[in-house]
Amino acid sequence: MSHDMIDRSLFEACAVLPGWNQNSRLEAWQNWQSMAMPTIRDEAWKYTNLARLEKIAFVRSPSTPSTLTLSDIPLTIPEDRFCFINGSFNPALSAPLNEDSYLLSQRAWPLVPNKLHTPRSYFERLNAAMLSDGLYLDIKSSTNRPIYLLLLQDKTVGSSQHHLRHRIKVHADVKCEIVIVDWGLADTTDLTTYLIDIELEEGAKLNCTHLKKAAMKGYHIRQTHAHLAKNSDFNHFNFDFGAKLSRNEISAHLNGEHAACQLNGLALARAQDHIDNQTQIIHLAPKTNSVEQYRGIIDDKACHVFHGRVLIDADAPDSIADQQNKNMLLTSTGQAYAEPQLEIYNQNVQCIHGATVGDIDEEALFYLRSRGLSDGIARQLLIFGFARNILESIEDKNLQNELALWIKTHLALDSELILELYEEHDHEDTL
Amino acid sequence: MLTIKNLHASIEDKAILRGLDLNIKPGEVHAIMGPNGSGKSTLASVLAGREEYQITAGTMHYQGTDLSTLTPDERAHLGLFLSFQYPVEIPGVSNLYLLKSALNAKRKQAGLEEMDAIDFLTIVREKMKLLHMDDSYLYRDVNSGFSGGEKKRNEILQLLLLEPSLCILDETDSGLDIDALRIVAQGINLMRNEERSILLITHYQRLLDYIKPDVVHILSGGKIVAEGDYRLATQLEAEGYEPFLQKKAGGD
Amino acid sequence: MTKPNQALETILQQDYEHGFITDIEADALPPGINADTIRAISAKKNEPEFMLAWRLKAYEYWRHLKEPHWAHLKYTPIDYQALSYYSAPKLKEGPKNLDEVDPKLIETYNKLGIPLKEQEWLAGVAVDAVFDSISVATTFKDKLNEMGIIFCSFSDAVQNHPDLVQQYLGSVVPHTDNFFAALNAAVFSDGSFVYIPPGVRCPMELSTYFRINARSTGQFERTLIIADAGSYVSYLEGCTAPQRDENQLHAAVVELVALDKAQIKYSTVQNWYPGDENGVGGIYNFVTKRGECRGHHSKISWTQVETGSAITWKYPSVVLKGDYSVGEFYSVALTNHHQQADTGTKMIHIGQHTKSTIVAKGISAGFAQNTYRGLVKVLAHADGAHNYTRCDSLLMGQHCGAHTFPYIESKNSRARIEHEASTSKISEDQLFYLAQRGIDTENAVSMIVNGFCKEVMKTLPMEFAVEARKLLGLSLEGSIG
Repeated sequence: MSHDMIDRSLFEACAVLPGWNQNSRLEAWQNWQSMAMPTIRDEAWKYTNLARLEKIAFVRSPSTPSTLTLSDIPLTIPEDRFCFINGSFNPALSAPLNEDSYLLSQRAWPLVPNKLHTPRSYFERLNAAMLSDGLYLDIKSSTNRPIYLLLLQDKTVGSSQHHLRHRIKVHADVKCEIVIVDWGLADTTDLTTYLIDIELEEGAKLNCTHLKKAAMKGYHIRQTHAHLAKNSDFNHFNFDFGAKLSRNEISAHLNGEHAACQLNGLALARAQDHIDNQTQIIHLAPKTNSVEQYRGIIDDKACHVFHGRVLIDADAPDSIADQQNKNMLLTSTGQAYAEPQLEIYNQNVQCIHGATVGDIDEEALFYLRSRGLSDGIARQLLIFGFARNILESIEDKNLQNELALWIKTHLALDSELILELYEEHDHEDTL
Repeated sequence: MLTIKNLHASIEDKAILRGLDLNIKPGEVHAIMGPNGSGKSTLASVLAGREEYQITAGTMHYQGTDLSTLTPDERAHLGLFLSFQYPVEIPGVSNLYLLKSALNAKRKQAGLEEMDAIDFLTIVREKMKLLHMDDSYLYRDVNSGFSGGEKKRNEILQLLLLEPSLCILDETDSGLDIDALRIVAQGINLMRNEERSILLITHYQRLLDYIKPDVVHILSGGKIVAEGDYRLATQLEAEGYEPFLQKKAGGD
Repeated sequence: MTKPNQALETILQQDYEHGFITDIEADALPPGINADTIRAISAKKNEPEFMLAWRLKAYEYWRHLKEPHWAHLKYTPIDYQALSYYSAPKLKEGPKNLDEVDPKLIETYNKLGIPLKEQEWLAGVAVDAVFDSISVATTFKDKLNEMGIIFCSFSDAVQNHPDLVQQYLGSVVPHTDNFFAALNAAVFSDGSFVYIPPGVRCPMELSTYFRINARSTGQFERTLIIADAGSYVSYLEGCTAPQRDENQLHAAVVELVALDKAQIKYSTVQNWYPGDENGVGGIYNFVTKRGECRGHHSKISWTQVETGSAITWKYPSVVLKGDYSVGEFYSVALTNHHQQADTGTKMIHIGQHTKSTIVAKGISAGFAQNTYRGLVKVLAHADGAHNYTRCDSLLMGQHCGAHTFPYIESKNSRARIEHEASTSKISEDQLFYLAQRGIDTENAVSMIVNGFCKEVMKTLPMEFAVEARKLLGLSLEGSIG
């Protein structure tokens, strides 16, 4: 195998935090070494080409302290937050509250045996080998304010690489909200792999919003694996503002009766962005319920890939699954790939899925114009409306409003006009 | 026509009917009234043979035959018709096809020849006229996309066509506006004759203003708690179910 | 009282009706494949040089390929050296007319209900019958000749119309297309050939019946249909095979070419032997079917009713090259017992304002696995392209599976692609409702299944639709009321 991109010296130079099992890392390194990088011949990477990645020689993350501050992120970040910069925990910007109630230990996930998920894929193994830090959130009591997890990347010299693994465990009947912010400022070709394991015990509820604005030239690969026990409820909102290559893999395993998950996503791809969303929902127990809604807005020469697999096992009767993928392709240079998949092994289920790719709806455009709106404004309105359906599924209204602004800025929409219409509409809702 | 003795029925081990007696003679119109959860719809389902219900005691005889030994389609062939409270949607199957199949299944059972398409259309159109239904009904899928009122009319159309001996109408008035109710009631009244019996299951008196019952029964807790003529319904409308329920509670 | 579920189970246990074997002496090659096999086939058919060269090229290519395994199918590996690649009913010479055809063959076709007699002219169906690998008779040849329509066996076409064959053979499905197409190109022994001249509307349905009879024989037929500018043809294909406890391979190729404003309607009722209720025996059906809308405003429409085969691997596709061309795919795939089907379509939008419609209905019963797999691809210059896809699955029973794997690829913002899919079962409520109207479970199931498939069935030519309805009934139950 040719794995020039990560030299062995990088592996050897990896930080070894107290208590880490160096043997398992070595094993992961060897496993990774023995694997070939996925190519477009692999079904899972059919539309995402990694060939260029292999030509980059990555370097170590810089050890100089970062000068980043919270004001570098255009988002109100409350207290109760954990901050990682360039793959290392940053105590200065972190402000954990109620430490006793939910935090077992930070940076200690490798101490906790993880029976739920063994790294198997190429990037999971790379992550396991090169891991530099991570957080274990052990949430034992409900919180009414969100916990923020900031994963920041400062400017670096050369192509650096960062590998983090986090684990989130929500105890029985605990309800909580987590907001993860991936924010990259680097203008170099960095490689980032994040692995997040989530476990929901019986009756637990987790709302997890993941905002990703990775470094523009970056390769950013994230894996999220959630395991849901009986009666638990997992809502995941994935907002991706693009990168050279942004890949989000998420799997939800509905292991217990009445477990429910909602996976929503919005990909805003422009310039030469490539966003690849790979989702899996596995219904393994009776009366489990999943709703999935992924949308892509594709501008310029960007590309959005959506692969969504819903599997209903023979042991999961009376389950319900609804999967929808919609793509708005704004230019003739953009690309959209959609693979919504249903695999059903039980007759007592209700499953539907749908996928669309198309431009702005001409009829809607005509309708708005006939009401006196200019073509430009009508288009903006329809683009924002398309994004808004996903936005509105977030329960936290403050976060929703802040994200609305992000989206407007990102899509270069006339923010005042839309804000006005947005508020007006909100007003209508309350009538 | 129909004799029910001490009928007990349950679903998933939950007893719903607990000793119901009912006797309907040919040509009679009976109404069963009762509050929600009293077992009205269960009675309709048990009579038609829905298999989720277990009969734990008692007997039901229809024209002398023990109903419990018959499958739902066999009961239908013998002239027992249930107008569903919630008619089922069957995508892809046209109403016309269902009506024709149902009619011919019955004719075949009776040793009659199957009716050809032209004769059938003539008859069905005639009946539809009575119910103010237009031709498009025939070509739409069975109950798919029908409004509540359309579904009920469709049930009555089937009733007119199949000419059953015992008509069980389960909450036929629900979901109907006053004009539709009148039309549906007219359709049912047309069916009244000396041989045919009708069992109306309803929550309100409203339908009984159009179809005068010979006997009114009040069902509560899975058994008949009061019986009377049409005036019982009027009394019920004025006083509510409360006095009857108390009476039952006192009796238990 | 019979529970509807039990009744459903009983009627799902039906036998294959076409399971008889015809005792006919066959002229067959010994099992195995190598370059000499290819030469022998070509020599037996007295083929011109270009055909042999083409076959050998395909064989050479195939030799280096591996059997694909990406489909949602599980089967015991095929031993390609154990198969015989040629089996022909023994005849002194090719039959000049029906009187020369072995009466046993005619009897077989009569059992199959194939109208081989001239009187069937009235039925408006012209038939080419392929028995094992050889086309035995083509009816109404003369009548069609008058209009300039060529409808004959592939072998005859190679002899009598080599220019047309050379021009179009492999132009839609090249030998490099896939493993099974390469194998077919190397060893195909016969099939049907159709050419409709410019402006001609073929006055009758053209029809081919395929039957595998001999043991340990692979059937590799090849069909080529060319609709010249402004012409129209409707083509029907039916298939059956005897009941055997071994698996038999069928790897056919169908190529359709529609020139400017031409229309081809291709309907298939596939009823190869599906194996018994324990999954023993049955045909492995690996078929490559593709049409190319080469001209503007051309249209190719595939309709398939698939009830047979142990394994079905089949994706009738349309390449929409011409501007304003139209591709359609209507499919019913019914799998029962241990049958597995991985079937669907590919719609490749190249020309502007091209339009495609996909309606796929999968019914899965017993232990069967039924997969829809489809690709809709819109290339950058296909402005105004439009696709609508609807896939529905109906599951019957606790051990079957239904899967939907669509692939959507768009590189054009002026294109619109819509895909919808749903899964349902026959509900107890529906069965009870119909029973209350006096319809027994068997008829109720048939009614619901046919209702489920209605959108597809109505696209079949009338006489075929009746047969298809009957087949759906046979595959799931006794008869249709």
